Amino acid sequence: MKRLLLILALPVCGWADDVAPLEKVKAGMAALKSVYLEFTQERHLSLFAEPLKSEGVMLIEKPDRIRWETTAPYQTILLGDHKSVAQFEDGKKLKLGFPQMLQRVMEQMTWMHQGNLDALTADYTVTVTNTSIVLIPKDANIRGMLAAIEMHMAPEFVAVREIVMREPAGDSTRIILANERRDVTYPVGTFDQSKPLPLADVKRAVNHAP
Amino acid sequence: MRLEVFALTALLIGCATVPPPTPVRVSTDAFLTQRGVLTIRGRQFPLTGYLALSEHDGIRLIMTHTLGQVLADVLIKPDGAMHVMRPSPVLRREWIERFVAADLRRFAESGTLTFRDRHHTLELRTVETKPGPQPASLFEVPR
Repeated sequence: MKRLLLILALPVCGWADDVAPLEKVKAGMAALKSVYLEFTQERHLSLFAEPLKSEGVMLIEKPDRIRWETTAPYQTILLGDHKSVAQFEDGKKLKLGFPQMLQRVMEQMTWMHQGNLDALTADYTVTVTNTSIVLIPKDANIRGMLAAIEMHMAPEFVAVREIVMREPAGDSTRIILANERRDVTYPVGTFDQSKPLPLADVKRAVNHAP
Repeated sequence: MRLEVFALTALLIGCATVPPPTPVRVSTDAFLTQRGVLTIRGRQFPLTGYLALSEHDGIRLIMTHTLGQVLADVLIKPDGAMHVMRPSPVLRREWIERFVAADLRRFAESGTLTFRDRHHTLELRTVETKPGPQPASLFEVPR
């Protein structure tokens, strides 16, 4: 998931056919000020016949703020920027163990949000197919837990439709994105790491935006 | 990531003493989703637990980190025999046997949702319950 978060900062705009996909991604990110997405997450464990499902929203605001909130079947809020992270569980702020891991994710998301995809090549081998971007961790220890991240794109790489994180033993996590809103103006408190604005209030502001 | 794995393991070193197995009584068939917060030496780790409960076959727990990684996969048979079904990239086997399995037994038998001792605190809440028999394959011990 932590690797997923950095991928989800990559909504893009449509471009001419002769522009390489990664260049489209970079260009799109440079212009985007914020994004709102709803997600459905499916955790595919080989042990279970059916995936384990959850739902939520992802909010990003340039240059480096993110809110990942799971809303069903439980609520948890993960907030971050390039300096710090916070997590709220059942309304209570946690004294996180090892926030450095999450801070690393935030740093990588900052790079992407600024269009600095090249910085990701320090951690991933990046390949592009006709319909997807694939990231493979360079660190062998990471590859032992995460084999690859696949970003399945809309035509012309105008948006990310789905993220799949594949694990070496065959398990995977699939995140389906929907209801994207771009360049939304988030109300004050949306990314507050001490007292985040309730999601209902954020959604009300987003839904009423022109 | 390696630093965090090493550090979490370091927190848990010296805490593990495995109790002898005792029979466990499960009173229902169901699949539960639970959220929990594990506190070790003042540091908190949010977790998700997926529990398959069977009156005849025991308990199977898959415990995952908030970011999705499987931290523990434990099977407890009705005779109390406990099996760690796969190695954990984060938790020592002894810690899983000593704490995860013990908490799991207590929950299954009494419905306890809060567990405290000098090494850890675990606070659980059940967020989803799906009653009904669970696949037998979940309770099979690998050979």
